[in-house]
Amino acid sequence: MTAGVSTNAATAESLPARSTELSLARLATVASMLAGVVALWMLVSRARAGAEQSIVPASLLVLVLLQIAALRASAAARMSIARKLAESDRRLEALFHSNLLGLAIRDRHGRVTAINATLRSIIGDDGELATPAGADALTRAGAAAPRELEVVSKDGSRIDLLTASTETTDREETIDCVIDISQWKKASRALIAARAVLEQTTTDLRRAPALAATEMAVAGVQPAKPSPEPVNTEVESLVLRLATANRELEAFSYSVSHDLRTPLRAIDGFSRALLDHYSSTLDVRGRDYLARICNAAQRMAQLIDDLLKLARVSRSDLKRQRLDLTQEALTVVDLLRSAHPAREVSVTVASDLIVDADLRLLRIILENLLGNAWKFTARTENASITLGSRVIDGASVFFVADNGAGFDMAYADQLFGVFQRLHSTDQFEGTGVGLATVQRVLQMHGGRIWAEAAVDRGATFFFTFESPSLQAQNYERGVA
Amino acid sequence: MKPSMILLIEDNPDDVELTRMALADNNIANELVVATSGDAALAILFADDAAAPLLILLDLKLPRVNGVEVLRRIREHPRTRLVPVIVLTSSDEQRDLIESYSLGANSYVRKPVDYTEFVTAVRQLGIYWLMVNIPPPSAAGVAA
Repeated sequence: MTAGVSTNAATAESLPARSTELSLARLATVASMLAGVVALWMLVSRARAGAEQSIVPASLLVLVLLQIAALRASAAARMSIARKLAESDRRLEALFHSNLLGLAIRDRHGRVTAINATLRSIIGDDGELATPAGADALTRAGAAAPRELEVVSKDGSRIDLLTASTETTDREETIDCVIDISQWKKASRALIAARAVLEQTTTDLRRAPALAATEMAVAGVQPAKPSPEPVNTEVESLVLRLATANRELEAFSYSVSHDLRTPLRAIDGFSRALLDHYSSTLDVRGRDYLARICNAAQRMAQLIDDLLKLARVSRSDLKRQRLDLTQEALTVVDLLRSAHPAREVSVTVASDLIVDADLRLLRIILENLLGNAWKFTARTENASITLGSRVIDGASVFFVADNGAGFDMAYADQLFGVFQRLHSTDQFEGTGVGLATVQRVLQMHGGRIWAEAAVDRGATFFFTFESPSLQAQNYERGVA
Repeated sequence: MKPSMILLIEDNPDDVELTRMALADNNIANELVVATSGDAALAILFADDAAAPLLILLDLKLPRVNGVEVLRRIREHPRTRLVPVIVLTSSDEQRDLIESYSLGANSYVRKPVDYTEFVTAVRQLGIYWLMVNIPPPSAAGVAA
């Protein structure tokens, strides 16, 4: 459709003439005239053969008159048909050009011969689509049943279309009807993402019963059913509950942020004061206990901070834009290097990685994944980290690979749970909230994360901002 | 209040004590006046014979009149509108940051849980606001 639309459609402004009926009328007239001539010839030849002379002129006159009458009737009929056809053509033209549906007419080779203003406004001013894939899809979609498909316009924006096609009876041409359903799909995707977030929140809360009890009590939220009904029937109530939960979660985390840290500061502060000013009256064990109290208070403060980050991620708005993932990753790597100048880590970041994502949330992903890779290679000789992308099932998937401590795949399902850790704190520091946060962020984008690893042989985290199944759905799923 | 005073608006007695300790640990000898609620702070600041303090350390979550409201009144009053106000609080919520800066807070410091870090933060505040920074002309003079 790419070349076809831009070259042919621009010139083919009018509908192709529909002259078949007119030709038939002409053919009828010619045939009747021919029949008259033949009849006349037979009469004349019979007369010459010796029939009565008197009949011949009379018959001839009648025949001529009949013929004239036939010709006039035929001409009138032709005029009427032509008038009706012209009227019909005008109607068709009006219907075609002022239709709310996007319409295109293709010839049997698939070349677009006409395109109306609505379709032009949907797929761009010059009617050109950026991706050949999109064009192929539109051609492939040439079935009678309405189908959804996703195309990319020339300015790079993504368009979701609902298309249906009809062949003309002579199979010479195909008429495509197109509706722009981008807004609808956008809303639908947002609902699906919101639902995923809500379900994940509920799962996480169930995994941390103490927190769940507190949060549910504060939020007044009922946990979602383990296996909810299909999307359509529950979306509305889910969205409502999500909005309520979000509001309450905001109030809850605001309170946590202010109130939960304050007693910790007192515990740490006064323990430290005892250590600083009264250490002479304490023995070694006493000082050790106080040091443990300080450490525990600080660790709890870290847990609270990480949980607040997770909560903030969940309730933040998603502002998607085209981002240079490579550049963002290099910035994170620089920060890691300056925070740990003694570490020698070989980091490779593939160039030109581009992604449609929220900038703040992308940074959270990279800080966590690269930070983890950095952390878990701390005891590895020749530590190396690679960030790159590959195409899996038609979707571009990014990955962060390291050659560090890795983990046993038997516990892989615990990786993304809140407070779940696969290493003890004395081996590797951490609160077990980072990967849960990353997963949440990717779910908000409609994507996902998974990992492959082996103990002492490193870990690779794969992540995508859009789930392959969703992409496939957009291309393949018929609506009817 | 003497013009060299620091006004600490803080309702939590532990935090008051920790702040005193941190100031003492940093040899900051300015007199510390403590208001343990928002309305108490306003009463101290806007008493007829009061002079503006050199510096105000303001917690946000306070009983009755909260810190944001206290800040608003401080900025509205001719006697205190130029006094440096440092928000010293537990949270780093976006909402608090935006409100505080919008209302003219001069600085926003999140109180660290780690006391050693807290002492460092207080030392840096003391060095900057009591030594490096040139304070506004005497608030009383401006008001007159």
